[in-house]
Amino acid sequence: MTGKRYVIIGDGPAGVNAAEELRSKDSESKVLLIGQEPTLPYSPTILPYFVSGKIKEKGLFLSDERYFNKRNIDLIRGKSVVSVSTQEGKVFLKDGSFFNYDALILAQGGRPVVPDISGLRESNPLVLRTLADARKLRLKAQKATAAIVIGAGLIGMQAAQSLAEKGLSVWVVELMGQVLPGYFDQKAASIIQKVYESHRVRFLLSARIARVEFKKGNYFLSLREGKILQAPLLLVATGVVPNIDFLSGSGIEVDKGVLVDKAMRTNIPNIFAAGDVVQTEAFWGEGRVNQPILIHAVDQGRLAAASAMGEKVSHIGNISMNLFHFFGHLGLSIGLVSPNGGDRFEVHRTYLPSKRQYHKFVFDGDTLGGVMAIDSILDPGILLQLIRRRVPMTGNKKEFLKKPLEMGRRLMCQNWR
Amino acid sequence: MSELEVVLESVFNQLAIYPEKCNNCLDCEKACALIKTGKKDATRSRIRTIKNLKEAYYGPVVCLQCNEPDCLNICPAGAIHKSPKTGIVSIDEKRCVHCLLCTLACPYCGIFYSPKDQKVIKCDLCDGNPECVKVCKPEALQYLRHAEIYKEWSSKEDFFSPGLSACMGCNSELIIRFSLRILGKNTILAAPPGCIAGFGAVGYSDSAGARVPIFHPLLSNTAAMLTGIKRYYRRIGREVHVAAFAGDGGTADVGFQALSGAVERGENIIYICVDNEGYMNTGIQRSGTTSYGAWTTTTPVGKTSRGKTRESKNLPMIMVMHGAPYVATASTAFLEDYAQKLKKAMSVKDGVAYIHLFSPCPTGWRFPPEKTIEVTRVAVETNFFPLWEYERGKFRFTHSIENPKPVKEYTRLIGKYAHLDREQTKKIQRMAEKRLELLKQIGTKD
Repeated sequence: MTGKRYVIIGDGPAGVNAAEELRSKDSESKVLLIGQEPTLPYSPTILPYFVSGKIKEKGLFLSDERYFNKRNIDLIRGKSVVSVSTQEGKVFLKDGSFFNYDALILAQGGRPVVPDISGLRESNPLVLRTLADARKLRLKAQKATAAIVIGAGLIGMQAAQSLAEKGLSVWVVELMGQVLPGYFDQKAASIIQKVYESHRVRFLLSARIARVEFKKGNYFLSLREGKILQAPLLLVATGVVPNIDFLSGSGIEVDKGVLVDKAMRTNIPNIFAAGDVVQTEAFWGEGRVNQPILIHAVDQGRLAAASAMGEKVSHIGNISMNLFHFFGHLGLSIGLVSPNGGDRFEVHRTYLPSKRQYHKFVFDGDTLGGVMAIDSILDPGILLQLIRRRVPMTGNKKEFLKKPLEMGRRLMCQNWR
Repeated sequence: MSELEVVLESVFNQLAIYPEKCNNCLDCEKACALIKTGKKDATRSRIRTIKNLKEAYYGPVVCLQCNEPDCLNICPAGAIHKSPKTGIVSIDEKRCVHCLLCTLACPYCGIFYSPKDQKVIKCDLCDGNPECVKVCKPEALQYLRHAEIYKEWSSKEDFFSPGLSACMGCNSELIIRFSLRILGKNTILAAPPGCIAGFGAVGYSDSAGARVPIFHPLLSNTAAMLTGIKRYYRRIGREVHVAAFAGDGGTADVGFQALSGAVERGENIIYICVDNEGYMNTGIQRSGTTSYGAWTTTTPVGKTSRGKTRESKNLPMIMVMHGAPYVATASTAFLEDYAQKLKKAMSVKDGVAYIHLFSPCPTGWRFPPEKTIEVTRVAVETNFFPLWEYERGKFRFTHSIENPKPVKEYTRLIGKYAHLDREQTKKIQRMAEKRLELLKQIGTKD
């Protein structure tokens, strides 16, 4: 094997997994991991748990320096890339230095969006994406008694939980008519909302913010309906967008994110991308989508590395999914949970008010298309595989609906052990 | 690192699951829950069975201790580890934040949330001594320790020089390297004329292939010469292992009188017969152990002859009757079994330890070289060559086959049986059954 120079931009989960994959199959090449963060690599998913105090700062990091030294992965910390020259095969850093690459993997992730609301950006609200953000939030939360969270997506909901667990009274303000839109249907969302409300979290749904002001240590949120919320802590959690600014002019094709095919290849032959930064094929052929979730970052990081080594690989396509653990309860959402496709989809709902369990299976013809559940005991990993592998139910649908655990495991044993 | 070392880094002892043997008694679930939680509450077991389906289907579901665990890769808290020593994937409970993403990443539901424990749980193989295996009566769960043996074996010095001239696919290289690693440096070998001597064990011109003392007796006097060597070393007060690697010709035919004498006198030697059922290196002639129906150049197949007409000499059984303190059959498809037997043979101090090693010959038996181990395995699985040991009057099967495949599954793999008609195949089947019956009778007499 001839030694190649692999450069990975970004040391989040996609970047770290790409580096590990490269090293596990190629012991000679140079692997360079450029991270923007001054700290050791960590997974942003963990940050809400740091805010709530569930873990300490030193428990955040996935591995120590020894780990990277042992694997001979060069880790550069605290450096941001300012441009890429695809002709010369060079990556330039802010300080003027550069690195040559034979293959480049873009895994620089995304950054939080702060929506265009009058006064919002000027008032410097908090966001939650990096460890620095989390430290600030944690510090502020220690002094505050109340907080406002804009956005009831996963990050907003997890942050709201973290803050509530620290004893703050929390307001969650959401533009849509329910919490966690996209992942859960109205019914599930209202169950989740009730659990939150029993833990001193209040919600304003379908809320449109007119103006934000920061006066004397307090944020004032004026809603179009006239209501005004006030708190010393304001967190904006309205999603993330891919970090692609420095790629402009490089010739690398971008849309919302870096456009890649199923093998994680960009339009430039020796450049690959993975994780929150990419926009790639969706599982049901809905076009190329950006879906910044951890499980895709890990998968894609490994695939991009394999692809960079010349292996033939193919990503299954993005499937929306999440597992959400809130105040001791469990929310699960995989695939098509609220499909609009008329007759093509078959939807089965089960609601057991006594056990406070709710779940919903969506079939796409003879295969499972989606699962959504609150507190039902299911095997999430198996259900995901049944969807991903389009395992045919062939006459087992009824029994599967009755005994999803047993039937799921049986199908698993027959199909991929 | 060598390629072998790299491979062995990812080989670990394993929990093997045989769903077809599971009788759904749920003892595994109870045992697991008991040892992990102190209570027999099966819902808290790390191993779970599939039950209560319309169409009966049982089978345990448990963590497979993957080599590239998806749960580990996804864990945002770095709370999941795979031990490089044991391969066990474990959860560091202090670091776990209960985000449960691992349960979504695992395709086998080997890691899952237990509402009663309020945490994610998974099998940790009880640190290498799994409780569920101990209670599984139908042996649907077994703990395979192959990895341990291969690691132990590979960590030992290879006492055979690189490069030898055996035919492609011959398992004698595996036999000699594997055996010498177990026998160790303090060994003197005898290799009479045959394939083992012929492939370079006793040397090309003036250098030997073996890196322990080795000599080349006549085909007829291997056991006698080893007797002399062992007695000499004993007399000067040095304990050495003396071992023969002889073919079936050098053991069952030409070398038999010397072996027989040594067993009767109780000489302390290890005698390994590498049985390829014929005189293969001299041109594939029949020997006393050539099996019934087999083609060889001296038992040809044509208008009047349909291969060997006589049954093979059952040499290991003869050794049992001869009163050798240790007699065993072994196969390279079951190396861990062979390793145990060789170690037992080394511990014998008062007589001949005899091991009969089955060694299919791709050249002489006419099957593709890559099929050697498969042929070896199927011979055991059809009970054509059962694995057993006889230790000071105690007989036992070391790898008993519950539902043996028909012998035809074995003969169809091999060119020397290609001509067999139905009658001949039936006869081989009957012979295999008869020999097995005889072994079972010895077994029950103890």
